[in-house]
Amino acid sequence: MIHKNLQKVFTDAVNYARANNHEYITVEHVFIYLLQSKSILSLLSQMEMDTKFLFTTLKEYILKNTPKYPEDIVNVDPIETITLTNTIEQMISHASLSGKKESTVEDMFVYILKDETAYCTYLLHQQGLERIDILEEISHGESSIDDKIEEEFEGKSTQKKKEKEETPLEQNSVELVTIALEGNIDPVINREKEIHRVVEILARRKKNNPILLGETGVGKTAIAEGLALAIANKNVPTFLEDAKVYSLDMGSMLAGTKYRGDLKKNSKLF
Amino acid sequence: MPSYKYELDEELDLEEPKKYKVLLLNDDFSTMDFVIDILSIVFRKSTEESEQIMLDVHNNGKAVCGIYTQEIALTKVSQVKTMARKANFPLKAIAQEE
Repeated sequence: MIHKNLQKVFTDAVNYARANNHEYITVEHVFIYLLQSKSILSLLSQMEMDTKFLFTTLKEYILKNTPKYPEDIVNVDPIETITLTNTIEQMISHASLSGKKESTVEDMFVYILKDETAYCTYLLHQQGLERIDILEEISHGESSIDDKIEEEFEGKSTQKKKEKEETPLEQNSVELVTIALEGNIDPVINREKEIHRVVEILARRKKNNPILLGETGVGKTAIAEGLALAIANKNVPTFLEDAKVYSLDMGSMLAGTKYRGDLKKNSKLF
Repeated sequence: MPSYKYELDEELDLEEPKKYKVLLLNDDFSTMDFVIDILSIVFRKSTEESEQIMLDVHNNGKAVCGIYTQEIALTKVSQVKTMARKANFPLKAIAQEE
């Protein structure tokens, strides 16, 4: 199945070719309309691409290189080029293999770029953009693009909105005190001394940052959980009563980062 | 630790995709009329041009019918193949990088 958005791109491309009396509808015809779809636009602007430049260059290329029907032949449908047919077939078979119900605008975009000989691929390479960058962005982008599309179509559900308003900290971490309050942390046994020491260090006016060092499995996380549990049970000095303990998930923070700079950007958001 | 240095012998330059020329190959079975039809329908040549190209194919074994982008060249090649098969002629076109 083909997503509504992608279907519209195809119809627009065919209409464009027909309006110009083009004999063929090429990958570039489709690509130029992909460039105008919202999700691709936001994708490319995130990568700081000059979409206007891409658009005008591509348009010139299409007008220059597509043969036209002779003037006495009108109202004939343009012929789909073999490359385009193959690209669409590949995209659809990929979608069914990966268990997706629909092929989206992004899928088409990525599959066109798979063809190294295509002019659009050349154009993006020229701008310093590799296919892998786009794959990474689509798969692990900062905010999933699929969500945006769904929002466009299904109206903005409140739950989605809520997710959007989550700060980067909430997206990439777990708050242990809340979990402790829900009763999902088991009691920590025989680590009272260590937990007390952590609280003591936190209470200092300066240098109040405890660091737990040790090999994997010795119980560093257990102590952090013990602290969260103590906070949840109000078993701590007053200054800690309203404290929160965040467990950062470095994995998920790294996942959406294309370059090392992105991680910095992520960290700064906290 | 020894350090390794890799160097490329050639610069990696990004090149604009090349154009392709579509060549029609001679055979002893396709009729001259059919070749002319192909040239005018698929390659949009005028009757005179078609005749000239057909004779070139006949005399030299092959002739260039046009220069296109890769995508369009390949599509033309397959159009020729489909039409030829339908008419039971072994006429063949190939696309070649310029």
